[in-house]
Amino acid sequence: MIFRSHRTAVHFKLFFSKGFLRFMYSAVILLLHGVSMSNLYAQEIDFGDFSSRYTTISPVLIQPNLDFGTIAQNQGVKEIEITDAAIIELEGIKYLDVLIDIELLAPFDTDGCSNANCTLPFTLKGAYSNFGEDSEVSALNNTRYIGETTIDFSQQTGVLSTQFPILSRTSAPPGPPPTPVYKGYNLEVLKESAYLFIYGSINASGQISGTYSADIQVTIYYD
Amino acid sequence: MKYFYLAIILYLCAFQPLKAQDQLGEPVVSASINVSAVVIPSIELITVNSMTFPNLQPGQREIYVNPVNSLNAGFMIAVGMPNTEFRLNYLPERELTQVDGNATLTFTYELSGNNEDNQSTSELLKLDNRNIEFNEEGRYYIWVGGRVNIENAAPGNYEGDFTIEIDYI
Repeated sequence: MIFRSHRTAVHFKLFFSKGFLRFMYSAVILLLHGVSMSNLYAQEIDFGDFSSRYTTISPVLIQPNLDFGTIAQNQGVKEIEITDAAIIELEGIKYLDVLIDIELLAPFDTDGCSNANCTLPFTLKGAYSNFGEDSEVSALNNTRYIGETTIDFSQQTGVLSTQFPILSRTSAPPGPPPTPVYKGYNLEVLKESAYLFIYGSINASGQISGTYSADIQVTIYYD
Repeated sequence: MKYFYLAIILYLCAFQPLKAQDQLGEPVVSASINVSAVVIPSIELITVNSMTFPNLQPGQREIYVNPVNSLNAGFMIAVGMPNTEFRLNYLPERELTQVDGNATLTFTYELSGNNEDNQSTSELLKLDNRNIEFNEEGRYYIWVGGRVNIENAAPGNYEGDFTIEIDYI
């Protein structure tokens, strides 16, 4: 009992020593400073980090072209509505979020020409549907607008970015962690399709006649 | 002093992102969408000659300018994208107003067209034509004629306009 009492006294003294108090004071201040300037990645649980163990995302180009057809030199704005949009079907794990970048990598111009007279201003628009629809036709009835960006000669590139779960959680909170892969694991029951719609408008204001083209790159990955 | 070093180490640690989870490398896939459009020249309508009327004969009740063979017919050239179809329509009946009075005359237009500069082989155009095409030079030739009843017309000068619309299909 005497020995234990002695040890307690030593600990008590150490805990309140001046050097230790200075250390704690400095450490707390510095930690608070440091924490405020750093990103706390540990507070976000990305089940998608382990998505490679499940599967990759399968994009299917249902409508791979966005063809505006002919437009007269001074016709003004010509629009492709969402009903005539380019469509990508995304098959993936329904409870995982996907991050999507829709990017026009170069201006919408004619081959071998790089000035304002041969660049059509192009307003890129995007929308998606993630309500477990059976087809792109029914998906059109329930879409969410991503946004739009205009690319012209001065604005050489543009990107639309969004994030959504393959299957909408509506207003519910995120579900529990996914079941780990095990023998007899049936991945197919966890798959669902979301649909991505890409459309927009061009504006002809005296550009030279000719064929104009550009490529939109769509990048998809799990969060 | 050792506490100071310990505090510095903690401080440096606080600046490091706290990655509690293993980054396994998410699968990234991409797709490409092609965007295309063809810009074609805007359509121009050039008036080469306006329609003129022949001298009236005593007792004449009607003036008629045949667009296919009359030298009094007006002459216009539509310029656009070569070998491209377009739509042409016009209002056939237009009112001519007396310049120095209130009298009016109703003029009924007739048009003929050809993809070569030859009036005699031109064909009469209906009110709404959809199967017309610019020639290889991007031209289409139009002759304008028509008829007007002058039986009860008051003497004087009359004027009016004529509307013709051309659009790419």
